[in-house]
Formats: sequence, C-alpha cells, structure tokens
Amino acid sequence: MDGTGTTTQATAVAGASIRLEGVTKSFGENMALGPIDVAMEPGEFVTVIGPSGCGKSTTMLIAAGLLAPTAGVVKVDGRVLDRPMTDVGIVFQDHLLLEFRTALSNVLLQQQIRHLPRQQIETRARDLFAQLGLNGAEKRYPRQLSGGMRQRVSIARALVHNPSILLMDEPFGALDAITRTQIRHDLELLWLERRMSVLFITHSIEEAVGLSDRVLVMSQSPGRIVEEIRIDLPRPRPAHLGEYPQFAAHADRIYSIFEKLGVYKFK
Amino acid sequence: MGSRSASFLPTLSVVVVLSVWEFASRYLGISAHILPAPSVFCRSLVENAPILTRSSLITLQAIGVGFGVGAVAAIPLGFSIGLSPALERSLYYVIVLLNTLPKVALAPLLVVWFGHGLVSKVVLIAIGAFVPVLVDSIAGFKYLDRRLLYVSRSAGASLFQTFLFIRLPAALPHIVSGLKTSLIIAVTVAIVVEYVAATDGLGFVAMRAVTNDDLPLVFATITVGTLIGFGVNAVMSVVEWLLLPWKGA
Amino acid sequence: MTMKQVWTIVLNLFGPVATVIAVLAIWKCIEQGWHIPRYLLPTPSEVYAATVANVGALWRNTAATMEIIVFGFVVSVVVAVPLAFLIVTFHFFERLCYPLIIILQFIPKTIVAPLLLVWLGIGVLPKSALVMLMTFFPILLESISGFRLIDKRIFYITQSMGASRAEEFFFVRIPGAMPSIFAGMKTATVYAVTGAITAEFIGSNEGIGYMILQASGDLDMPLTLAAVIASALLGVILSAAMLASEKLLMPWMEHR
Ligand SMILES: Nc1ncnc2c1ncn2[C@@H]1O[C@H](COP(=O)(O)OP(=O)(O)OP(=O)(O)O)[C@@H](O)[C@H]1O
Ligand SMILES: [Mg+2]
Repeated sequence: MDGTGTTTQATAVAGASIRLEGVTKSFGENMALGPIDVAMEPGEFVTVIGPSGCGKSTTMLIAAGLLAPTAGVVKVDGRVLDRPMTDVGIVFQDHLLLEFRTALSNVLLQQQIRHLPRQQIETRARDLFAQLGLNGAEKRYPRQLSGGMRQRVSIARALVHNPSILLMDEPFGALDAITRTQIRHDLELLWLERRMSVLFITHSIEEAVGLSDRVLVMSQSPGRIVEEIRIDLPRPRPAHLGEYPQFAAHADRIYSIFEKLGVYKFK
Repeated sequence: MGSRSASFLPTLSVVVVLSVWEFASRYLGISAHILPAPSVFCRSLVENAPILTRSSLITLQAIGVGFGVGAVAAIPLGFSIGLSPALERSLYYVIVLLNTLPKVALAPLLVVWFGHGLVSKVVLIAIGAFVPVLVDSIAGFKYLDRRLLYVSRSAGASLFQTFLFIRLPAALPHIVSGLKTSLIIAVTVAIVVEYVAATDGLGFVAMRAVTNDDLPLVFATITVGTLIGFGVNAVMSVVEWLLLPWKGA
Repeated sequence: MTMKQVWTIVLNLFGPVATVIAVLAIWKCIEQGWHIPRYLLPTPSEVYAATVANVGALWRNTAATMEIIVFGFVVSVVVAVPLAFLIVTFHFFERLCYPLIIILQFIPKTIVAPLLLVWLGIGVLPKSALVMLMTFFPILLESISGFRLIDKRIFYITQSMGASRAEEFFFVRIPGAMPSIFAGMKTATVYAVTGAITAEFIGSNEGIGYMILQASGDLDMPLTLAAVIASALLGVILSAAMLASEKLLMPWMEHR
C-alpha cells in the first residue's frame, strides 16, 4: 500500500487536503515562524521535524485554525480556513484529558459536544480502546492511568469521530522508548485502516521515518521548511527499522541537514 | 500601561462607588435613616471620634490578649500532635469537633460565667483563635520533608538544633497562615460578645446606635471596624515579613 | 483482625474518651475548688434532663437556624461562583471588582449585623443576609483560584470539537473548578453557623442562637448547654453533608 489512498476498506474516510500558503507568525516583535508552504494530499501522512522552538507547535495550531497566522492562509479542501477547524482530531504533547471524567467519558466528550449518536460512538470508542490496548481502562479516571495509557486515551479521543484530519504534536514525547515503539505501530495500523490526513510533529528521526509518507525538515527559529524527504518503505513498518537499508539512508540525510543547519555541533 | 494604570482603576472604582452613593443619598431622596451619605457618616465619625477611639481600644485590647493566649497555647500543642501520629490519630475527632463548633454560641454562657467585662471576651477570642492555629501548626509540623532530617542528623545536630533550624522554619508558613485566619476570627468574635453582653467596645457602640436609630453612627462603626480589619491585617503582614523573610514580600 | 487494626481502633477511641474524662474532671475541680454555685455549672445529667424536657423546642429552633443557613448559603454560592467566573474571564471586570472585594473582605462581617437589622427588619432576611456575607468571600476567592487553575490548552480541544461557550462552561470550567469551589464551601460552613447565631443573638425570636441567649438570660444553665450542644451538632451535620456531597459530586478525587 502506498499513501495515495488506494484502499478499498469500508471504514476508510476520505482525508482532506490541507495547504499552508506563505504562512508566517510573529509574537510581537519576535518572528517565530516562516514563511512556510505545506501541501498535504488527502490521506497523506506528513511529518514535521525540527529543532526545539522552531515553530512546529505554532504551525500545528495555525493549521487547526486555533491560531491566526500573521500572514498567509490555510486552505482545507480548497476553502480558506478562518475559524477553528472541526473535522479534526488533535493530540498534544501532554494528554490534556479532563481529570474529572473517566477514560471512556473523556472520549465520549466528542459525542456530547458534536451531538453524535451515542450508541454508535460508544461502540467505536470501545473498539478503539481494544485496538490501542486500553482494555479495562474505560471506567478509570486519568489519575489512575499510566502516562502511556493517558496518551492512548487522548489518541482515542482524537479518532473516535472519524475525522478526516489528524493533527499530532509530539504525541509520544513523554513516553518511554518501549511504549513509544508499540504506540507508533498501533497508530500506523489505525491510519492504514482509515486513511485520514495526518500532520505529525516530532523530534524523533525514528518516528518520522517510521510513520510518514513525507518528512518536512524545519530550520531553527524562525522556522522554514528546508527539505522534503519522501519515505517509500513498505507498510506496516516493523518495530526495528534498522532492517531496511533505506531507513539508515533517510536518517543519515536528516542528521546531515541538521548538521548543516548547525542544530548539531559534533566535532 | 504598567503600575500607574494598575493603581488607577482600583482608585477609580472606589471613587465612583463613593460618589454614586453620595449623589444617591443627596439627590434621590434616600433617607439618612436608611443610607446616610458618605459625607454624613464621615461627620458622625469625626464627632464621635472620642467614643469610637475608646471603644476600639477596648475591643483591640481584648483581641490582643485573647489572640495571644490562644496562639501561645496552640503552637506547642500543634507541635506535639504534628510529631506524634498516635496523638494525632487519637485526637482527630476532638479537633474536628472543635473546628466545626460555632464558637460564638458560647458567648452567652461565658458572659454568665465570667461577667460582662474583659474576661469573657478574652476567653471566647482565645478559643476562636486557638483552633485555626492548632490545625495549621499540626499540618506545618507534620509535613516535613524527611530528607531534611537526614541532613541535620548527619550534621550531628541536637534535638533542639533540629527543632530550631529545620522543623520550626518548615512549619512557620503554615503557622503564620493559621495566625492570619485566627486574627480575623478574633475580631469577628470579639464584636459578637460585645453585642451579647458588654457595656463597652465597638460592638456595643454599634448596637446602641441602632437602638437610638443613629444610622450615621452605625456606618461610622462599620468604617472603624473595617479600619481595624485593615490594621490587623497589616500587622500580620509585617509579622509574616519578619518571620518568613525568605518568602519575600 | 490484625494487631494494627486493634491499635487503630484503640487510638481512635482513646482521644475522645480521654477528652470527655478530662473535661468532666476539670468540671468537677472547678465546682469543688472555686465553690461555684451549682446552678452555674450543671452536671451532665442535668444537661441531659434539660435536653429531654425541651426536645421539641430544641428541634424547632435548630430547624429554624438550619433554614436560615441553607438559604443564605445557597444565595452566596449562586452569586459568588458566577461572579468568580466573570472575574476570571473578563479582565476589565477583574480590575473593576477586585479593589471592592479587597476592601469588603477586610470588614469584620459581624459588625454589619446591626445595619442588616435596620435595613431588613426582623425575620429570615437579615439573618440569611449575614450568613451570606460571612460565607461569600471564602467561596468567591476559592472559586476564582479554581477557575484560574484550568489548563487553557484544554480549550483548543473543545474549540476543535466546535463547542459553544456554554458547552465549554458546563463541560470544562464548572467541573474543573469544582474541587476549589467545594474547598471554599467547606471553609464557609463554620462561618455560616457563626453568622446565623450572631444574627439570632441580636434580633430574632427563634433559632438556636435566640434559645441560647434566652436560656442564659434566665440563668437556666442546663438548657443553655443543651442548646450549645445542639448548635455544635448543627455544625457537624453541615460539615458531614458537605463531605458527603463532595464524595457524590466529585468521584474523581481521592477522598479521605
Ligand atoms: N504564545 C506565545 N507568545 C509568545 N511567543 C510564543 C508563543 N508561542 C510560541 N512562541 C514562540 O514561538 C517560537 C516557536 O514556538 P513553538 O512552540 O511553535 O516551537 P516548537 O517548534 O513547537 O518547539 P518544541 O519542539 O520545543 O515544542 C518559540 O520561540 C516560542 O518562544
Ligand atoms: Mg512544540
């Protein structure tokens, strides 16, 4: 399978296309981002990687319509976005669950606010819990879950309404390496099944190469996109990516870009 | 922007409230028997300054003594209970009961027992001030980071030194917050005793003003009460600043 | 039962029992040592007898006080919580209200009681008003800090769900601030009882405060003490009700 959405599965949702055109953002005097241009095809999995503080989170908030760009526009399926996007699921670096709701009812907040049919969404939520290895966590409160489980719940929350766009800001950043590898795989399977468009932000070269169709490499602040790398590894990809020679080549490429940018200062 | 506008708006809102009030009672025909204008009760404040001063001093004296007795009794007890889980366990319900007991209910009883003078006031204030200080100093002495004790023990500190250099400073913020709460309670409670029985004091003056239908004087006593509230709070801020210099203020 | 459990029970019982014994002993000593007249310091059995003889009146007056407290308290919550929300949400509102709040907070609330009497006459109103005044600030200040504590980024999530302001309020802000609101209400319960009793002292013809004052005026010490105990029970019941509703409404919290 490749990233162009040839799947015939019944559950597939058509991803939306997203374009960021000449987007910049400054906070007061401080130019934080851009200008950048991003064009995501429907159903594409795109990863943004870049040094800390380069404007990745800002990019995601702008793409979601949660933050107005200083210049430039965001277009979703060709229409200019001028309010918070709603056909979307968002996962932040920390889980941002509501501590006063159980895991399941955190996910069902989507159903309540969007006024979706209860039965159907609850069934889907339970299926997602099973797929994400959250069996038995439904009735527990966030404080009774481990960090990894909380993050899985917030992924379930972002997916339960079958959005055509998924935005993820370093979703696995707070997790241990073992959990991270597993959850990466779980996410890939979910994406293969549904084919929503994914904008995935990370610091991890392994995650970037392990998940995406395309990696966008950003420079230091104010961030710009300096390189675009197409990843054409077969899917689903294995836990240990080292077995592909292409993996090492892609990883090397990203390292060398960072070295050229002065992100790494190895002697 | 900045500090000038930060102090500007508060001042403005106070001035606006006072002017609207003054205007309303002057020109909207609101009777001075219901809402005397600020200018009217300020005059009453000046005219009655001697009696207001004297009665405030009497109230303050009771507050000072009662608060002192209550606090002095509470802190060592809080220390013992905070350090002994067995004692805490066994006194838990007693403390809860003391905490929920409405102290003012005791006022008429104390007046019968100790008469109309200073003593009944002092006793009730002491009881009222005792409880918050006790509860907070228990908390203060109890929740000590145990690693601090390893430090002092490995430095060969004596028990007294450990108390003076580790336990007391760690508990002080809690104790001070208990003292603050209890000082406010002390003022509140003192006034109630004066309603019930006293022949002097701020509460007594307020009650008598009501009986005489002297609303400006009622407002004047409320103003003086507020000033006492401010003053007492200011004193506590100074105490806090002296006792907790590392908190900064 | 393990040794530890036995020990816990012994400890739990020891304190209250020892306290009762100590109080009785002091009582006895005062009576004997200072030759205090018997009528001023009744024995526990006399207090018990007075309670039994006046059960009806005690009950009626306690209920009257309870009514005042509940009324004042509910009004206080209904005003303080939305006000806290406005203060946290609208900056200009905060700057407008804060100085007044600070000043009003410094007023020892009981000094206002006579004025309330003049304004509102005798009856439920002035008494409930004092209860409200005394409970208002703890609830307001705690609610403000509760609304402030909520992580703003949660609203990114609700916005992307297309939530309205009202939905944000009911789904996120209210439950998020609830633990703090409850902390304020718990502090406020004792103040509520204090306020009600104070108001009943100075202008009322019913309620437990009125009863205490009357009985002590008649030098009926057994009945005075019985009424004081009833007022203490009132405080205990209110606190227990608070704890119970906290457990019921906030199952996500760790409760003691
Ligand atoms: N609300 C804000 N106000 C002012 N400056 C901001 C704000 N948000 C972000 N910035 C600045 O914009 C720049 C980009 O921030 P952003 O959070 O997008 O970086 P990032 O790439 O996500 O970093 P990280 O990898 O550490 O999460 C930073 O210099 C940051 O200081
Ligand atoms: Mg970021």
